[in-house]
Amino acid sequence: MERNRARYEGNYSRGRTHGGRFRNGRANLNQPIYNQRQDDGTTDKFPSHTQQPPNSSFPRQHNNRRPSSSYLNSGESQGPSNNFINNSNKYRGQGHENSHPPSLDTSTVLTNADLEEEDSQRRPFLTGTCPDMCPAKERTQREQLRDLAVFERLNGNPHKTSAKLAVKKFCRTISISEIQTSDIRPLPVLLTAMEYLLELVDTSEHAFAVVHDFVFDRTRAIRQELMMQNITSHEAIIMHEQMVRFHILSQHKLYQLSSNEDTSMLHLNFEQLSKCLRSLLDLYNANMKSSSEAGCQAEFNSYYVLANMRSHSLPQGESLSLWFQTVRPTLLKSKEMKFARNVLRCYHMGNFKGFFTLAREATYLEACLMECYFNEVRAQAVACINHSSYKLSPFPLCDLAGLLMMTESDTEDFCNLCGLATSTDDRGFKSLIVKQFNFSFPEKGSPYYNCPIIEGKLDSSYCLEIRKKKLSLQ
Amino acid sequence: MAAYMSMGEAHRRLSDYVNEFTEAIASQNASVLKPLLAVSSNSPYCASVAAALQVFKDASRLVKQVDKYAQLGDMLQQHMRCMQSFQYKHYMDAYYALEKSANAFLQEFRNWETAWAVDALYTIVYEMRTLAEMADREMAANGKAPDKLKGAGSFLMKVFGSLVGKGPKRLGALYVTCQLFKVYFKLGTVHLCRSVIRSIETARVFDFEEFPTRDKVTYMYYTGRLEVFNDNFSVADQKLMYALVHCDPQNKANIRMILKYLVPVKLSLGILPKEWLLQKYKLHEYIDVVRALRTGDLRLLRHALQDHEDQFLRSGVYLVLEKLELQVYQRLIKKIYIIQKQKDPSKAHQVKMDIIVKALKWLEIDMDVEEVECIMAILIHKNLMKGYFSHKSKVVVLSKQDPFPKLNGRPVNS
Repeated sequence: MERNRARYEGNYSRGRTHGGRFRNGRANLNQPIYNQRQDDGTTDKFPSHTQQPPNSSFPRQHNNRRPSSSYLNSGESQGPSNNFINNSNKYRGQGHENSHPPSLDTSTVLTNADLEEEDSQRRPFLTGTCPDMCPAKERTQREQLRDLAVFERLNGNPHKTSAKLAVKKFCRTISISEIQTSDIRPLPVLLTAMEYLLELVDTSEHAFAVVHDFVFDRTRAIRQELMMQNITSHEAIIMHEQMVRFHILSQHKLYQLSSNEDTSMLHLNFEQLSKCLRSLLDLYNANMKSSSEAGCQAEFNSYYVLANMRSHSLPQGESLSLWFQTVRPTLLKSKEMKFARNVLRCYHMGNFKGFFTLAREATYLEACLMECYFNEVRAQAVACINHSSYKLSPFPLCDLAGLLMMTESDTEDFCNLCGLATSTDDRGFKSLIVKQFNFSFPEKGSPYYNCPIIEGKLDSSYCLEIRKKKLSLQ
Repeated sequence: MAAYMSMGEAHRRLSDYVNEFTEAIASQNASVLKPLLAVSSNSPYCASVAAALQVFKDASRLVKQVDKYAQLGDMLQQHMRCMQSFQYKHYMDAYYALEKSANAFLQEFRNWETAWAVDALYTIVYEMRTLAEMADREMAANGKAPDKLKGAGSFLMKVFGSLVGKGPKRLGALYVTCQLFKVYFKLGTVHLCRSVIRSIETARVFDFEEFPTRDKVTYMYYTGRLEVFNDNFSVADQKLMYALVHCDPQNKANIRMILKYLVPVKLSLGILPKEWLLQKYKLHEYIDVVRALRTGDLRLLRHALQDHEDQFLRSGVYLVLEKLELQVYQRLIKKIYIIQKQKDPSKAHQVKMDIIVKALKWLEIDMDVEEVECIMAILIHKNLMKGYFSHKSKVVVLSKQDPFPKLNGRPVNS
């Protein structure tokens, strides 16, 4: 099926002023008009294993594409779920037959993907009226079903919640005929809910995984409602920025807590990170306003680079080269983007020294993203050093540890994981024996190696890190 | 164009137009039909028809008089409306009219069994794309979100669909494919190329060799560019070379376009163009890049990338060129090796890392010994250098035989 529908292009097209083209109120016709990123919403449809979040994808996959055309191979594995195709066809008529919006079939059940993919002209423009963070109807329903998260329980009672504690849950399938404005929260309530959720992130009462789960789900619901009401304002941008920051630091924390067997939380978090980031970038395009946004724009554009350094992390047919074509030159030259591009350069070249030097200089969130590639870069480094070193002189582990930003014992552990033996001399001095033949990339990902340097970058609390707004220096 | 056209004159011109059109259809003569449909060509003929329409307001009467081909009467009316709007620079209106005309034409086209009208269909397709682009510019200038080119893309897909079959019409499919590429590249929705590429390359009814050369060249150019985006340099080389070899040697503009992407690909494969080629086709942005590769001048490469950063980013080759750094390092070390060989052949194969740090300092590049060691390890690992490095003595020991293997058309080992 031809996915010729840009995901958010229609959604956030209101009020778009095409960036620099309308400086001084006059259109500059020399600038390209197809500047914005077009996304056909594929990230929602791909099963997570093809999304391949950095942490657990190992070794670095190379494009094993047949010579004839790289575009034919992966169409199947990356198809959207059948559900989506059927529903969306029903909903929007036969796609390219005519360029006029089809009439709404209100009995159609929409999946969330459909809602996200809707052109703003076609989606019903709703304004919510629900005064609470969670509609009363849902509160009662979930009380009865005992479907209350720990944070929502009044005095720990799994049957009881309150308007102050309950937050609306994310619902995947919404039948358009059932949507009532009393179920939808208007912007001020969404802002309140977001604030409330952010306060929870630092709590020490519950395990982070539990907190993450809750905030993940409830912020997803907030995003959904922002879209349904077509809110594309400054506030929507701020909320999306906060959510992306949350997902980034979650990626780090979850990675810390993960085991080799269960990486699904990492996958899912990264998937949301990507989706949220893309929405945010589209919001920026739709909202070229004051320069105070520009300060954060550079930050989040740089996160996009850092999150997609692996060639196959982007959907088929896309690449960072393609994406760079759509970014404004001023953004590309910003400090944050330059940093991200330097990281990209080191990563592509396999320059582990440069990569980890940059990691040491990175901000907390940048480091959290870079961490996703640490073990991969380390493995490449070990492979390199093993291959190229003088065979008669083992490489001291302490030096290797410094290069790879690990402790010495972790380095030893990692070398062994790569199938390489280490040796200890009579003084207890450890080294990597080089020119070994049994190097292999660790198959099932590798254990998490603590990185105090990253922790050291955290300013104070997670909440403050998430809310941090860069001063506009642009 | 006559400033004042009399009613009679206008009537005559329009009748002529209508008659020529119907005659062309009747005799199945595409070469006569083509220029009648070419709105954006701005031919004096189209201009005069448009002027006549301004004077003689009721063209539909004329069209209805020719009831032999009533089914195309609609098309004719819309097309004339299109020409009129175009002449007076109302591009959105022109596009709307053209869209109706084109759809009507396509419906009829499906019914014609022979492929006589394919050439005229090309014109329709071309006009749809061109007018859509102009309409989008107009929309953007008025603060509206441009979406006509997207619509044109959908129409082109329909046209493509009508050409997929066993009959002689299928030879037109590659032209439409190329027009679709142009649309998608312009819109930035390059991933949509996938479905047409799949049809062309796997559908049984198509035999690639049968298509006209001109279309094959354009097709290889675009698919080659797509391979460049994905770092598939060997394949990109094949495709772009095909385009280059089969391209009309007189068409300098097209050759330049192909070379713009072929040069970075060739550089990635270790093949350097001569400077006169870059001069001849005005690819000045690559001159310093090539010089840097030839001389191992890392500073020059970085400056070249910086100086033409916007251009390279816009064309999508920046990251490709950035990766050439490793080859520049290789060349630099080789130079040091050659100089050492002249001084003392017996010790030449040992290159102290401090020397490399010094050389880089001369190039105003600040790199510590650790990073140099790292780069050396990489160069050896990727087979750009043969030998080993000693961590303890901070020396690179090069192999006595062929220490700097050439890439020779293979991409750098990744």
